[in-house]
Amino acid sequence: MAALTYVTIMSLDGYVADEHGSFDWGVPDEEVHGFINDLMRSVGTHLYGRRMYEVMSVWETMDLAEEPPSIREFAAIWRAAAKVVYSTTLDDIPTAHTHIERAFDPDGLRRMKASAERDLSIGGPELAAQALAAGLVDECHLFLAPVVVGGGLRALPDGVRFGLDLLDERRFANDMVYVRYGVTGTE
Amino acid sequence: MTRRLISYMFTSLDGLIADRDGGLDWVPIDDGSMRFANTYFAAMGGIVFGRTVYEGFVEYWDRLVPTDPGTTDLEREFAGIFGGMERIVVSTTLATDGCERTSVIADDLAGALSRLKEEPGNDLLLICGPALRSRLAELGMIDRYRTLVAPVALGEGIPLFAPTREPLSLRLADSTVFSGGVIMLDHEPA
Repeated sequence: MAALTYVTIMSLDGYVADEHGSFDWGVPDEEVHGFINDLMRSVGTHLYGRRMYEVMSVWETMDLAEEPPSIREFAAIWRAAAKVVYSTTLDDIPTAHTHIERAFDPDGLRRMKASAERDLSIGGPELAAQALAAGLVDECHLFLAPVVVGGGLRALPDGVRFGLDLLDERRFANDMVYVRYGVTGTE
Repeated sequence: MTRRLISYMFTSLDGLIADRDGGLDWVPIDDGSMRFANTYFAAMGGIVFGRTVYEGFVEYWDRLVPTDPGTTDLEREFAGIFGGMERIVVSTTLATDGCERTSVIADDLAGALSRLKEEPGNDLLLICGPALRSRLAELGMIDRYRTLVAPVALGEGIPLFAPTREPLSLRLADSTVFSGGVIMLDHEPA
């Protein structure tokens, strides 16, 4: 039985991107990236919505020659992991170890969790919202950036209320705060 | 050295200060956080409110019945502290509510608050809804944002901030974890 975790960076007021789609304010620095790498090392499979997959797939071919160690390390971890992309339209799959699902199916994801040997991570707030609403997400790992953006794409789902259990907290030198919660159930 | 204006608010993890019905039943109040609040409020020079939040606060705390068996000692203590505090209400509609410690700011918000901050005394808390908080943030009047993040996601409700014209960049000054899973974040303008 594998755990399903939702990991995201968000503004203090709960957005992953502002109204212009920008998330410049949330780009991790070397220290935070190293921490994210450690989280990602235990993940066997990443689940993505189509848009998040397209953002992330640049890691497959990124030229790493000039990049700092945390970036090179993340790319290696990411390239080795399996990916599942939920999309009704996507045909072109530029990354290895990647499988397409045409619809989000809670029972299918439940089976995937039951049979997986390594943990699962879900990315993209819309896909994460469906999994949270279905009660399938075990933990939320959030990096709170020191900024208020006032609007945009919300990190956590609209219309779903759920309880949380604070498991861990850590401050970084760039003023981000990492908080790790267990999901205790939708209400 | 002027007095600081400190935004003080419980929020859900998804950045909301009340649920869709305006409800606050998700705010985890235990003896530890209540004791902290009593000490903290007692050290403040006054509270700046928006009208709606002020009326809710007064409705609850000024009318708390000390002899009610459901009232705890810590609540009685808080009601006593709040009862003695200066209250400043930002409102164009509230005239006066008969409390001698209440004053109303109806116009020239920036000027009136600047004068208030220049007065001698301890720091001021700001407890209000999103519109006033964002307006004061844009005016550069808020010196610290103390946000107590409760371990719950509400999904819909009233946000901490109104839509802002420009992103508000902050620096993290401090963070504290309370029993019950509340994390208190202190941010200051960057």
